[in-house]
Amino acid sequence: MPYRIKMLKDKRIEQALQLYLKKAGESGDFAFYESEGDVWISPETLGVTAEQFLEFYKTLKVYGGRKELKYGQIHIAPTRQIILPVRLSEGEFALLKKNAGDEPIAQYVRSVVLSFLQDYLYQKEEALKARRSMASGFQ
Amino acid sequence: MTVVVMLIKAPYNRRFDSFARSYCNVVVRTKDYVVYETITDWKTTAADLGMKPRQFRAFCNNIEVEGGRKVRKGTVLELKPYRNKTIYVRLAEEEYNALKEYADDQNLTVGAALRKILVTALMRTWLNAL
Repeated sequence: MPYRIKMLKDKRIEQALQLYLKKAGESGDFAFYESEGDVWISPETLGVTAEQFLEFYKTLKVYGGRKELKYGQIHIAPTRQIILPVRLSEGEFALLKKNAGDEPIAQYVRSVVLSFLQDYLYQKEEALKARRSMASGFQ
Repeated sequence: MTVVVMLIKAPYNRRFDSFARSYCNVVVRTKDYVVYETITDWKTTAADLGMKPRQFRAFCNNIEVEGGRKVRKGTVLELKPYRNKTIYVRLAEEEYNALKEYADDQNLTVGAALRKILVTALMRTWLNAL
């Protein structure tokens, strides 16, 4: 299920974030957006000063997710309530640690798994589209 | 950092050797036997090796494994390193649904699908680095 983000209405912000967030509605000075994945917003994306960026962060509200300031950017992510255990051999774990390098292991694992799934689902969708267009060509 | 591996000592067999090289690194090679090292589990069958069940059983009995275990069920041999580390992966509902879709397509459980994705990526980097 997508999570909701409430922020101050601003045409410039809306334009900058239209690729990442789907507008769900408006109420007074605020606009509501929906998203499914992680969203990173930097001051450069919004074209604002550091102070304005901090103000923007304070007015931001996330329902079904969380917000944090990380690496000078706003990170908005959905609540991750499902926890899956993975059992690994010592060799696999040591290699995982080595591959992760300075990155936290959890973040590295998530990036590996999610990028794989993104590719897989994209290819599946493309194959389905190709099959559909072929089928419609025969009719 | 040294990577802890599972060692497999097996009598030299051409087909087993070519099969093992997709998953393992050769550590020692003599006239009679070969020692392979790997970090993850893999399996082979009598059909893969072109052996009859009795030959396959005898071949399996001569395999020695260190840092893991061998399990033969009929004509299938599985070599598994001990899994004594557990990590936990937190997923959002959307991410879980995507994983479940992949697991269903592959006829796997969600946990097994997650392990497969992770281990395949790890093996790729491990074999590339050798």
